[in-house]
Amino acid sequence: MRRPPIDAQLARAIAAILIWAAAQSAAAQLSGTVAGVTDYRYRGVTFSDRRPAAQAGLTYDDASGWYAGAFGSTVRLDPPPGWARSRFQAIAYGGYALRIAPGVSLEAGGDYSAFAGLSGFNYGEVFVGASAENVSGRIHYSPRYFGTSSNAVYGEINAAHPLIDALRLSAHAGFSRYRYDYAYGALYGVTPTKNIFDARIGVRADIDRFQLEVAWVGISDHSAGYFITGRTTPNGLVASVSLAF
Amino acid sequence: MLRLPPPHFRPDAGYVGGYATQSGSAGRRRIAEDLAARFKLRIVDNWPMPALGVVCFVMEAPNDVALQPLIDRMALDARVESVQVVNLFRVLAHDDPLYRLQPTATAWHLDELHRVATGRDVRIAAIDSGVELDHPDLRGRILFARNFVDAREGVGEMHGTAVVGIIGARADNGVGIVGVAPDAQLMALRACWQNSLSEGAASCSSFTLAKALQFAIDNGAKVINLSLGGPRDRLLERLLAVAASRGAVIVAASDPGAANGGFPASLPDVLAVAADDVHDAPEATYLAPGRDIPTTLPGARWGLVGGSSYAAAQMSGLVALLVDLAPDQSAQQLRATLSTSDRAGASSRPRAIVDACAAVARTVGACACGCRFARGDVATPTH
Repeated sequence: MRRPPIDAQLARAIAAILIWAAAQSAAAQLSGTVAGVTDYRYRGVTFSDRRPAAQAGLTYDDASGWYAGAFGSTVRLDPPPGWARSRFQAIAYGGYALRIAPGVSLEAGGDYSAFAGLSGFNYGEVFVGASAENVSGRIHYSPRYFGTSSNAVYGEINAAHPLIDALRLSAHAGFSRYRYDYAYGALYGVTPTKNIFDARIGVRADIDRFQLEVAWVGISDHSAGYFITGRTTPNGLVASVSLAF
Repeated sequence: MLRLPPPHFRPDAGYVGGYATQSGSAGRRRIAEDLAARFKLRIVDNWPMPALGVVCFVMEAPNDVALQPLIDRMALDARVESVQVVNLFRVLAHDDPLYRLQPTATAWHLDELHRVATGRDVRIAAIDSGVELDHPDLRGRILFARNFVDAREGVGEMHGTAVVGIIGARADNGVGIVGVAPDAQLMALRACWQNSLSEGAASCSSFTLAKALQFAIDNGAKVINLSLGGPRDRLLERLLAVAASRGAVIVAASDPGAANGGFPASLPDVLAVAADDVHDAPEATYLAPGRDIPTTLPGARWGLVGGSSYAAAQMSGLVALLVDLAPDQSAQQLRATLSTSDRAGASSRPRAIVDACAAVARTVGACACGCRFARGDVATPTH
């Protein structure tokens, strides 16, 4: 039987999000982006073999604080021989964000990431976070990171600093800690536990509905790649252009 | 105003989170355009106000439309967080040219106060008309200058230049005057526009003032000077409450022609200041020197000014000195320090003549001016 292009469970979840969003109150806000990136970096690791990728996202914000969204990106994931390749990733997410003071908010939510043709690597996460006007932090926890039987924690801090009116400096620092399955560790000679830092610093410009960004992305372990990527990730510059709608 | 949802997780390319990002702005613009079409309005401007969790869209109605019924109908739309009319405000200064010629009064012993404090590194936002940035007494003194009225740069107007000079003109430069807080960091935020080149009158609107207030809040203003008044304004009231909750001290000129000093002076979080020659100032108003005050004027000039605008400017400078001395004190503590300044030794009066020396002495717990008392005593000037 032909494998469906994307996990049926995720497709149903995204469809449910869209239907739910369309049915909600008039006080809600629906927004989206389409983007092109020179290299799709996921937590510092290339998911597009350092080649350009196309992305799109849709977010629903309810006036009560509930939110939900869907995101898709082209990818070039080539795990070791014996596994299929994947050319598309989809993420469904949702949660609740609460403003606790002027300019300060907390959130809790979850997301589910799926890979076309490689549904065995699909995984879900839960996260909690806090945001202020120019800074945010979040901790993600996945009980089955990339479909393995191992859990993973990812913490991130993000900041933006206005330079001039439409120009901002953006920065991101992330730390991931995860374990490989014993079988994978034995097979590919990797240590069972990995601690990886990633960072991103860039300049972004808002021009009408377009956002342009050039950023340097670095990672503490160049050989680090999730098993699914099948390749190494050097530090380097990435650029993106996105259109909000 | 439309709701600005709290920031949250988004996997979009390069998204870094935080209120400062523009995510979702296109969606809100779409809602605003739909509202404008439905109510036959024209969108003039918009800007986010993360401190309030709203995005403000300014819309213009046709001249023949009654505003209040329109506002009432718009308020019923579930997408609208709040809606109000754009109010007009005016600066509070004497317009009489001869008033400037009256004798000078000096009461605060600045020389002695400046031995104790100069307002060093205290950020003061003067929300006013334009300031002449290259005035000999102000050159290099302005940390930030922003124009929220139009796109012009370097607009030097009378009222703003005079207010900022009183607050923080450079000291010991051999020319002109000494600001009350000569080492404070000054933010010259143009939210008002001069009505005529020949007088100190200027007007401001709800949305230019809101933009300037938002900027002051975002950039850590510890003192916000509002030498202006007008009708009660809900948007400004909310922004001022946020500023106060973040520890900013708001000083506003009391309007002698308005009940309770007008808005924003009548707000509980605001230090209302009137000129000390006003006989019927509202209760809980501070009285500061309000006439014949030498200050900076456009055209690299100096001159005498008077009115509650300038009384408030002096109070803002004094507050900066007190913050310099005790950075952690709250606005309530500052108010108490200033309120009990009664030279006659009586209990605090509802309309207090500000005694700067006594306020500084209370803050540092030691003598400040003409010191006749031991440390710990409340010192008063020796006249």
